[in-house]
Amino acid sequence: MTGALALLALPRAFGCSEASAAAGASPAHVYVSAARFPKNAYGVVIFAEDGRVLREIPIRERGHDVAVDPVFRRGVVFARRPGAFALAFDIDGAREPSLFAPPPNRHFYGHGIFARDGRLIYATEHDAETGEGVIGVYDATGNWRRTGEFPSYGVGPHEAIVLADGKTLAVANGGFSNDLATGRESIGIGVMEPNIAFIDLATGSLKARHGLSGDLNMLSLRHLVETPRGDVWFGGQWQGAMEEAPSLIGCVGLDKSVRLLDAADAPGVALRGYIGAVALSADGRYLAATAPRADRVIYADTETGKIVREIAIDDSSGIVPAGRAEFAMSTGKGVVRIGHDGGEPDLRTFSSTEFDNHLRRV
Amino acid sequence: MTSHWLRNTVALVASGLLVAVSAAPTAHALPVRKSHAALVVDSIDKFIIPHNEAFKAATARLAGAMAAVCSAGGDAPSRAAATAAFADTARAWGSLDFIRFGPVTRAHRLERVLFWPDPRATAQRQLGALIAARKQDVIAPGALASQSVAVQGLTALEILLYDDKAPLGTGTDETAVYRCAFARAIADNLATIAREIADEWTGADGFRLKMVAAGSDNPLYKDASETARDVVKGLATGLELCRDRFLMPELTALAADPPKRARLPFDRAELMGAYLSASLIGLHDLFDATGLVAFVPADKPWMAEFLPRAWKSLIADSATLDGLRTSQRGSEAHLHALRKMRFDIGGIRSIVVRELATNAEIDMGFNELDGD
Repeated sequence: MTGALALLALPRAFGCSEASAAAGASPAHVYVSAARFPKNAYGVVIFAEDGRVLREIPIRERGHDVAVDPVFRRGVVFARRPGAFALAFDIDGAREPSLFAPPPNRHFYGHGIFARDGRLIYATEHDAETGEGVIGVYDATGNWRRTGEFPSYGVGPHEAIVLADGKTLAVANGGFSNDLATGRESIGIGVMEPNIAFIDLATGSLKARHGLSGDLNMLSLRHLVETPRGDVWFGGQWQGAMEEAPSLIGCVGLDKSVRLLDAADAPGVALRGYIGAVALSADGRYLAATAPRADRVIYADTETGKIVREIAIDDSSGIVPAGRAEFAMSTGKGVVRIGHDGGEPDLRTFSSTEFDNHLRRV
Repeated sequence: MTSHWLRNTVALVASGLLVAVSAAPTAHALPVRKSHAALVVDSIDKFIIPHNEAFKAATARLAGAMAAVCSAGGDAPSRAAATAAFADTARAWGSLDFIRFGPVTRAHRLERVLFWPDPRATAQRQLGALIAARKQDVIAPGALASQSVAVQGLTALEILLYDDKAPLGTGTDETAVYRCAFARAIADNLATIAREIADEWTGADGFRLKMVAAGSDNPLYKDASETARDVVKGLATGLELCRDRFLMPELTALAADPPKRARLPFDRAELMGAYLSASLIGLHDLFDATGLVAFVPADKPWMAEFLPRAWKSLIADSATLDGLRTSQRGSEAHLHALRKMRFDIGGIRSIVVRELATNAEIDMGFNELDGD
């Protein structure tokens, strides 16, 4: 199956399978994101904070998130849901990219996360037989072979993160699923039961699971980040009537049930019911959430639970920490805004590039 | 024929509000460009409200037809009338199920009318369990609305109505009587939902007014460009639905070794093509109501010729699908029709989102339109 997932050449200035690196000094910070290029071509863009494109790697269909290896300078881009491929690549282009795929009765949901030692990667997947979510486990030491799986303990797992203890996986089970045959049409919207599951990575057993009350069941929990205190903050996407959208941001813990920000402070309707990505500032205090349908990014103080700042930015998408309490954010308009503590942000514009949902820093 | 049915129904219900189908525009004679506000008002008044009224009327006829089946002991004429009413209702819903904002999003109405996709036959399983239990309180007036969304609408009614082994209304045992009563309850439930959707669009507190009166004091829409974005997004969504519901599953199943039979909506009633045709005709009607064709870029006049040709071809091809599936499934002609439709849908969607909407200053962001 993997062999069928041939890379397609992009109509851009590529070398063989990748574009060559731009000349210049080694950048202090390197960012990576999936993107769309003209003529419906897709790829991964690796760029420096000064805006130099270091590398572009073509992929055959639209990607979603890029998992960055915390040990070795590698990344894995996952096809967006329902996706049938993932591409592992070397950040510096030292090795050829490697393509791998889930088994025929599974598909990817667009996200994966490396183990702390970089030896395994966990992917959120769909079991086509049962409709349940699973976490596929792949060997990241060389061959990307699938070594096993365990339940995600919900339907439609989206983002998963390895917590600071290195032993626990937190999974956002969005509550609805997709099927390869029916593409993007959501399955089971009317019977959603989203949750955040905490899973023991050593055994695959469930440590804790927290759902939402019945009136909030149409809030699909999708993106996650952990604070230094061990809380997991999330951003959701409302699947019900827009005027009924609740607060879309909240937090949860192993032994703490779901708490949403005060809706009066962070009304879901003002964010058009949709958070695209979340990130935590380097100082561990501020959560940033992108709201592409409302063309803005909001900052929440995780200590007070209050919204402390809003930034207007068209088609916001990916977000990562920059500096102490600031963020770098990408957009579908090809703009990356890199914030600086106490200073003016830098705006980098990338021609013919629409950045996809997520931005990561190497 | 389907086209005539839908147009006549819409025109009738709209009391003279004809859904305009303009002649193929030429590069030299494009219609006047509408403002965002006019685009939205026309989309609501010429498309959304008339189509919702048509759906309301169809479900009312269906409820009457189902009552007749159960009271007439399931004789052939009453069952024929019921299946005809079911087909009309399916087509009426198909013509607007891509409008996914406003009253239809409240109280799970979208899923209650049509529970789809249903890859693991949830509707059949839950329906079977409820009928086996034969609880009278489940089928009491209005009670079905609090049951699982899977058993409330067209998906469940199709299972009951298109069952040759147990024709609805013919048996006298408890299970047969209960089945018919359950089918009546579904039809009544559909009529209630359709009435709620249609009624909530109009009136002093209707969703029409929420969209038309965009402004800083409107929590839903701050300006007309936001409302125009929802309408055009409906077009894009509808085209994707047609592709993902009908074309891709069939192409995927036929590509399997050995080829499989795709699970498609309304397969049992053999209304797949009819539903798809109704959707495409509805999308074409909405496209016309928006007036977006006026925004064909001056340097790309070929689009003004491609668009009407692609719509016409799409609708014509969809009318052939049921026949091809029945008699020539997997044939070169079948595959050709599926691939051609996929191409036309992709072309229209791309032009609408990337060219016409952009030219009309309706910002359809990459992530805003289809993120995750």
